[in-house]
Amino acid sequence: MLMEDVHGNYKIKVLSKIGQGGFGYVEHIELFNLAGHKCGNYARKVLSPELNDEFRRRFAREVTYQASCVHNNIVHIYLCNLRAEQPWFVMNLAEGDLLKDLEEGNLSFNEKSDILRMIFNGVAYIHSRGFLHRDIKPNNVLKFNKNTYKVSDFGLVKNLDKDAESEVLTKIASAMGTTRYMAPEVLYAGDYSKQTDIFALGLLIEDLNLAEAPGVQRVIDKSTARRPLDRYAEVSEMLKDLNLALEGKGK
Amino acid sequence: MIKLIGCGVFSYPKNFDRNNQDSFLTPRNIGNGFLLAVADGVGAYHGADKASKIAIDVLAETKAMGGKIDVESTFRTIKSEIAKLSILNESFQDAATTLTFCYAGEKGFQIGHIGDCRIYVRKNDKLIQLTKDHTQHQKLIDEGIYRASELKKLSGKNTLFTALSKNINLQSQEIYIPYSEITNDSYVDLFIMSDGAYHFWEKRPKFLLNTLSDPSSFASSLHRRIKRFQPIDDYTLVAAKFSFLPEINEN
Repeated sequence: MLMEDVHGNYKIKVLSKIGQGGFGYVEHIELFNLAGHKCGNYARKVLSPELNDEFRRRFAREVTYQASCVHNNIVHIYLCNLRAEQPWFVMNLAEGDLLKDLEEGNLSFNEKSDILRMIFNGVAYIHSRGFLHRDIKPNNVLKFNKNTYKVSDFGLVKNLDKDAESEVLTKIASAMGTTRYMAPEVLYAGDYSKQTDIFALGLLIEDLNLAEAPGVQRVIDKSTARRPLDRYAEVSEMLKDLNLALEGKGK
Repeated sequence: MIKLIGCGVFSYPKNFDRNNQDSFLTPRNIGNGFLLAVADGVGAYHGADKASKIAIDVLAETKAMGGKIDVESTFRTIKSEIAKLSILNESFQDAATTLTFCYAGEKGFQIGHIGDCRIYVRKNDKLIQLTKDHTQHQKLIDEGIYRASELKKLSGKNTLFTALSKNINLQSQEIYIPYSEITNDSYVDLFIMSDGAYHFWEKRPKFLLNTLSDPSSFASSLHRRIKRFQPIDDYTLVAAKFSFLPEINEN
């Protein structure tokens, strides 16, 4: 359903539907202030009306956590309406995503290196906020102008802060995300930690195929070790090793 | 022929200002044996107390065929009955429970288990755990992803990877143990505990042999210990002593 909407001091004009998923859909919109001046072009993610309260809660969590992350390598949320019949939020409009770039196969070694640094900075920031992303993969890395890449889709985000959980109750774990990027502890027991995001980052390096820098394989091996305690403890440590491997290209 | 000699039972909420989410079945004569059980509603989801009660109510109606319970079919029936809770109230759609039961037949114990309640049997002056906890920690240890010592500081001890719930895959355990593997005489002692009870048994797994051999003494001793240290969760015990006649060789 394409719609025109007024929210607070803004007017939203829907131009087209640009994506569809299990959660709902994404629209290309124009945002205006009430005086009619155009603020810019954006994307709006809209939740399907038939999804139940649990999905509305998850959607609200996605918005809350993503909006609290203000970083150049994280897709920013500008506006939201969580009380609407179909909750929505407005974010930057991307030119494409990393998966599409990889499929086209035109990225140079230096471009790939820069992209990885941007993703790592984004994920390190997410961890510094006490969150886990839990769904790091190429199509959740969006491309913007000036070749800036940003981490997006906080649909599976988790707060690591135990205080955020009101009481320690028995609960049931479940594996979420995309199988290829899932660490063994996620597949077997639905156990998430910073090391599960680090595992996914290791596979994402592999996707970029940096064979020109053989040292990169050591970083992949360490970040995708079977035992979480054998992986990097922090994304910053992994980035440090990755930078050394990239600089030592050909060695 | 199996006879029930004695029984000790308790089931209390953690605090008296809340519902007890555990349910239990005292030894019930079914066919030529006795069925007993403990179910522990999964506290993180609405309807936990209802789910555990459904598990016990359905189990109590089970029939023994050929001296055995159809464990798989029993679990499937309970799961579908729990799924119906969400028709009554949408907030119960994740309602979940564990269930551990034992059918003391003529020649041995048949056990059905899903979740983290435990069955122990007495061997001399020790209790031997027969069931394996379906917890995240146990799974991670079994898969060689963490060592037990490494998990002590990590959360997840209260996280299950399976339970009886509408949206969770059933991963149940069925065990059969002949009495001849447990004891050389004609008595067997069996104990089913929810995690709130065995937490305190595990702290110091010792009682005098006279206490261990008498289900009502065991129940009162463990109950006193839990009250002394303050309950950490709802806590339930069903303990029973059976006598059976060893097979007589008529030749």
